Amino acid sequence: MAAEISDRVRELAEARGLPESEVFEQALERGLEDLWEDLVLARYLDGELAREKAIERVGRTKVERAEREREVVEEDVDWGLNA
Amino acid sequence: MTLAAVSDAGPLIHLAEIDSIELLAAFDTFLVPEIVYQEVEVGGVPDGLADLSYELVEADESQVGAEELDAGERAAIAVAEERGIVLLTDDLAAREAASDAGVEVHGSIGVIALGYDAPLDQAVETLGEYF
Repeated sequence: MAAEISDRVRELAEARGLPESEVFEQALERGLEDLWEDLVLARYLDGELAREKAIERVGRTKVERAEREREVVEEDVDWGLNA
Repeated sequence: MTLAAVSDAGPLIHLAEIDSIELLAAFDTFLVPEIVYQEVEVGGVPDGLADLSYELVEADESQVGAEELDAGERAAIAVAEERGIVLLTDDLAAREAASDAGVEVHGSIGVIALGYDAPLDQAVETLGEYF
């Protein structure tokens, strides 16, 4: 895995004409953004964060998608346990 | 009650990832479109699929107009619609397209719940360990 990451960083740096350190920085920013969104949505779904606050932090589309996913899980559990 | 379902690639892969593909044996009839099998084959056929009783079926995915879906998802929807059976998918867009077409649709979590014959509180606890 480590070798694969090094290879990818090198290829990205060459393809984009960037230093490898810049590739790492962009990767960290993107990864952090994903982790941040996951945390915000988890807190919202757990009732620890108000809906409007969650929308403010990650946007309405992502909040509405998370709500739909929760509905789907609930529908599936209900079906599976009662089929 | 007889249960019949057709699956796209998602549940086959996801249930295999948590060593639970055998839960699909809960269906009396279980279908896999050939194109879905080919998709799964690309990443390696999951362990345990060969032990399941399933039927590979041909499907005309072109009759499902949802172009944002991949061919396997459209094929599975086409089979479910044509035969009036349950569609298994973990893709939200595929789920909504199938629902719009009047198909009953569920995902891997439903299959886990279906295969779990313990009391409700224990089932919910187990689901929490997976997700």
